[in-house]
Amino acid sequence: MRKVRALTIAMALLVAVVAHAQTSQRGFSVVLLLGETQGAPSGDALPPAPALRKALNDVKDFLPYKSYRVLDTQWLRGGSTRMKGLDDQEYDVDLIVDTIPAGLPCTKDCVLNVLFHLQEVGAAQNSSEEFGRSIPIAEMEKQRAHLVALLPSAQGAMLQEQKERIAQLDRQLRLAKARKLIDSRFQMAPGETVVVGTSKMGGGDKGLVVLLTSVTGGK
Amino acid sequence: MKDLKQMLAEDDPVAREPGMSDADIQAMRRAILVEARLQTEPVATSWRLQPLALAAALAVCLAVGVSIGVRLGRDGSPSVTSVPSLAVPPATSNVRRQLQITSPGGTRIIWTFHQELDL
Repeated sequence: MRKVRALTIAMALLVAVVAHAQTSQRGFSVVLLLGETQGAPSGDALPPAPALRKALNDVKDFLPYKSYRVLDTQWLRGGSTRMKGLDDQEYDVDLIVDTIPAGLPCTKDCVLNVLFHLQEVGAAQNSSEEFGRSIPIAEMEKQRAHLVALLPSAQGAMLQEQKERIAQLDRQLRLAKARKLIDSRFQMAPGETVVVGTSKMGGGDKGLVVLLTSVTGGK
Repeated sequence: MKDLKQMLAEDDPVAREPGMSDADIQAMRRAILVEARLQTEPVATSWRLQPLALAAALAVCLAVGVSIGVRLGRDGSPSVTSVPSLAVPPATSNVRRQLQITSPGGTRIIWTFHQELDL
């Protein structure tokens, strides 16, 4: 009889935990935007989700951009994904999440410990690798400058060939110069949207803005 | 018939030695008292100081704990309206700086500045 009672209590607890987990954190919405200082103020292309609009409205006074464009949108539970950027540039996004307290399912009141990385595809993983790339980069830039200087005198098939070679060098240079852009650690509450971004020091006319929302499920 | 005990007592040279003079006795007494005082005083002092040392150690622990708590709270607390910039050590030649701000609406911005970034 005692065993039956204990089993019933255990089942009831399990059901309660499962029911509670219905409101738990389910994943992350990652929206990559390009903020621009040029052009008319615009936000028409933004996703209609009210949380995202509210987050952008909250931060627009802090950011120098007049308009925002959605470059890519992804949904992640954690781990890695690749996002499309401007002019065929691609970004690797890594999201490492654990809960506080660790190991427990994240419910309404928990805190998420988030490690967010965004880097251009092919980015050097450390400074020595980056330093090692500097010599080939210099060589490729020299080749490119030479080809560009020859362009006015080239004609026909030669012109086309040189243009293709320049485009190929541009792609190689982009890979070789790829950098880690965002490497942030922060805490989030379930349902919260955090704006993570990057731009050139001192401003720049463009900035990458990521709207990271911790999506909760159920109810 | 003398037994062994009596024979030893009678032949004991110490028994026939003259006793210590009063001056020697007093000198020895003073030496013992001084030594005893020297031995007991530090012990008494350490026992008196122990609560103070404990209190000081507790105070240091509290101060360290509070400062760690304040730092952790500053990093993670969403109620902080503005957090001073947090410089990320330059891993490469491209210097990066990170800034965390909380907007009045509660949305947090975590922004990374790059010395060289062309988008």
